[in-house]
This record gives sequence, structure tokens and C-alpha cells, in this order.
Amino acid sequence: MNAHRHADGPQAWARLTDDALRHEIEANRRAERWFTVAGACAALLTVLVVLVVAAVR
Amino acid sequence: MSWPAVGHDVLVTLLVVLVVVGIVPALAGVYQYLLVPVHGLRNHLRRAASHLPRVAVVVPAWNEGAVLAASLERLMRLEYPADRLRVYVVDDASTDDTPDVVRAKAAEHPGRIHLLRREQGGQGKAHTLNHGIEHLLRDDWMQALLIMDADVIYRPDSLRRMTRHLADPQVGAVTAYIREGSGRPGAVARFIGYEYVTAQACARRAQNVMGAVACLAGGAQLHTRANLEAIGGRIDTSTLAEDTFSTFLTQLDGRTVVFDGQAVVLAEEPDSVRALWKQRVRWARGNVQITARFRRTWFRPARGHRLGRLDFGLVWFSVFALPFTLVAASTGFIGLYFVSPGTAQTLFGQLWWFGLGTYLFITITTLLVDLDTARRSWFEGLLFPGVGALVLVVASATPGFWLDTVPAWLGITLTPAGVEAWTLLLYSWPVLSMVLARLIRDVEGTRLLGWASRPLLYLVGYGPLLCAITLDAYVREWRGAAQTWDKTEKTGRVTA
Repeated sequence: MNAHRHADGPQAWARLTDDALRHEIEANRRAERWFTVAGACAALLTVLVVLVVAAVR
Repeated sequence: MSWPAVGHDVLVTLLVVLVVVGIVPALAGVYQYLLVPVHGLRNHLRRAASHLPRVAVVVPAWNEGAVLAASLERLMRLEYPADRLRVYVVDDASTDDTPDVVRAKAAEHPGRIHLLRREQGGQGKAHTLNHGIEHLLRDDWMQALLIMDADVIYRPDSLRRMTRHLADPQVGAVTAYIREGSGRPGAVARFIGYEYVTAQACARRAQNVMGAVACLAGGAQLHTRANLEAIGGRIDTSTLAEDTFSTFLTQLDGRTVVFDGQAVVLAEEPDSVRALWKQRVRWARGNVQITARFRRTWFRPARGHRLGRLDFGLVWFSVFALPFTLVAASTGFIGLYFVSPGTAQTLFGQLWWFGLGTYLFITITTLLVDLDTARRSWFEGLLFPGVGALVLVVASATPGFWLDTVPAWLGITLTPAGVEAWTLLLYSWPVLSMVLARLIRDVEGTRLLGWASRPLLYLVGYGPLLCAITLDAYVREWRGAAQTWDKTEKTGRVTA
């Protein structure tokens, strides 16, 4: 577990060991999931606004 | 039914079809944006691995003295094994201090920075690159080639985030995310910053999901040596879109092109409409050439690649034909106004949810996916289609707002002629906005009316400005104008 924490974070990734680079890839994969959240939030907000406008129109 | 009645119905149908054609690009845009969340769960990072090949960086340079030192220094600070990185600046017969800057940097970093000078240049970026590539292919040191522009600033982690995808032998090339990086961007640069989020951070992720990428970024593209040799060992010089040409050749040959949005580089982009116009005319002309050169690829699914997919073709041609679809929409509505005004009014009113929904979904997604750019360019993001287009959306969603509510606030009543003029103005706005965009370029920098260019830009919108530039490019290409490489002037304003 200590080794896992030790290999995480931009400073650790800069050491360029195989372990560190693998952790960087995993961190970036997790970061990509934000796009799923962003898209879903945008879709939800859009539908809400359109429904509100439809109701008051 | 009488012939005149039949003729009238046919005409009305044709005009309605024109209006529908006008909304196809928006549909394609929404489709791409629906793929962005998919990328969050399905992307090439699951096949990436620790991989640090020997990389030769080729930097084409013509009179880049103002920007080169910073770029080269950033390359030397890349978090990448020093013995596996070499930089080759190909000086295209510069007349400024570019060669001296490179020699000074080479002296600071012996063995890592090299100057290759062409005594006779001026043939364009592709020729300059080929001079460097020819040199690099003479021995077997290079395992991967990074092509970049002289002003691009690489973040320390950018290169290794690109090379990791080359661990997959199926990958031929990787491209990074180029962010607008000026220290104090003006309006145009802020619009470009927002545009790059839509066109790169979002659209290229969507293309990753589709398995067909339209273009490797000119300032940040990494090729495997095998791919470079397979596409002929050189960059195409017959079009103005050499980057797109390489991208297509790579994929047609069965290799994958990957966009990594986590590999970020910064670039200085034009901050005037005139400079932007020059740059984008070149790009748009290049796209016309590409569309023609690869005409046997469109909409023809094939085993080895995905460029022939229906969705990729629709996305490509939606961008390609956008100016014409705007003209089609205006023509349809104006024609309906005179031939069947009730149909025009009904159709205009019924499309309100589509216009509003498209605008909201794309804008909100774009602002959320790159919060740094959103902080700098949120206003330009909201006004990307222009104040005029937003007035149109409101008119469609709430018909009485501009005709009754606002005049009431102002204490006036619109006459029938006023209503007619307003309605025709709304219907013609898609075309009018492109005409006004041309005016922005003409008045910018003039003493009398120069002040009007920025307010006009926000009124017209950056999207219609790009459409006007694209139309100009098509006219030039049709007329067979000379293919010149008009270099975008850089001043070294990138901060990171």
C-alpha cells in the first residue's frame, strides 16, 4: 500500500519508472470519467431548461 | 388538384427541405457531443502502457527568433529520458536571428538540439519538415517522430502522455490537446480558446470513440517510425492540409490515430480577425483539397479503417458544408415567408426546442470539460453563436417577446411593416451574419471604424465568422488562387 501511494502523483510520475507511468495512466483514466459526468450534467440541465420554457411558453 | 396548387405544394415542400438541411450540422454537432461522455468510459488509455521510445522532435522554423528559445527550453525540461530525446530545428532560410537562437540553445544542451538549415526556403511547412525527416531517416536512432510548431510550449508530462499510446502496435500516430495559451488573450484569442475546447477536447474525443480521427494537430503530432515510413517517409506537399493528409493516410493503411486530451500543449493563436482569417482560409482550402483527394473514401465502409463510416462522413461534411446550410436555412424561411407565411411561422416556432437545446447542451458541456478555459473564455462561450443568433433562439422560443414585450418596454408599437421587416431580418440572419463577419475584417484596424470590430464580433458571433472565412476559402479554391503559406505571426506571448 505504501508502494502504491509512493508511486502516485505528478512528482512520482516524473521518475518515469514503469510503476509510476502505470499509475499515471490509471489516474488519467479516472480523470476521463469527468467527461461522462460533464456530459450527463449538461444533458440534464438542457432537458430541464427546455421543459421549463415549454411549460411557460 | 390544379397544377398551380401542385406546384405550390412542391415549392413549399422544397423550401421546408432547405430549412431541414439547415439543421443537419447542428444534429451532427449534438451527435458528437453525445459521444463525449462515452469517451469517459471507453478510451485508448486502457491499451496504453509505459513506453519511452527514442523521439526526434522536428521543429520547422521561419523567422521564429521571438518564440523559439522558450519552446526549446521547455522541450529540454520535458519529463522524458534525456538520452531518448533529440530536437532538430529546421531553419527555412530565416532572415532574423532564428539560427543564432538555435545555436545558442544547442551550445547550452550539447548533443540534444541540432540546427538543420535550408539556404533556400519559402515552400511551406511540409517541405521544411521533409528536409528534417529525410535527415532523420538516414540512421535508425529515431523510433518516433514528434512534429511541432516553433511557438508551441510543451508541458513537462506532454510527450510521455503521447508515447504511452505507441505501446499498442496498432497505433500509428498520436495527437495532443493544443490549448490557447496567451498570457493576456484578447477577444479573438479567447474565442479561439473556447473553439479549441469544442473542436479538440470534445470533438476529437468523439472521434476517438468513432475510431476515425479527422486531423492530427499540426503543433503536436507523434508518429511511429513505422507509420512514417509506411506513409512514404515524408509529409505530403500537394495540399495545404498536410496534417490531415497524414492523418488519413495513416488510418487508410489500417493504423489507429489517437487523441490524448490529457497531453496538453500551449500555443499562441491569432488575436485579430485579419490574422485569424489568413490562418483559417488556408485550413479551409486544405480541407477542400482533402475532401476531393479522398473522395473514394467517403461513406464507403471498409475493413481496415473507419473513415468510410456514415457518422464520420456526416460529421466531416457538416463542417464542410456549414456555410451552405446556413444559406439553405435562410432561403427556406424567406421563401416560405412569401409562399406560405403560415408554414414559415409554424416551422420557425416548432424548432425553438431544437435551437435552444443544441445551444445549451453544447455550451454547458464545453464549459464543464475544460474549466481553466471556461474561466478565461466563459463570456465568449456564451456568445459563440453571436447575440444575433441568441435573439433568434429567443424569438423562436417566445414569439411575443420581441414583437410585443420589448416594444411595450420601449413604449412603442410595431407597425405591420415593422413586424414584416423584423421577421425577414430574423429569417435572413444566418446569411446576414456571414456578410457582417466580412465587414468585421474590413473595419478592423481602420481609424474611423476600427472601434466597431469587437462589438460587431460579439453581435455576429465567432461561429458565423468562421463560416464566412470558410466561404471565402471555397471561392479562392474554386478560382484556383495561388497556394501560399501565409505564416501566422507569433510574438511569444504564451505563458504556462
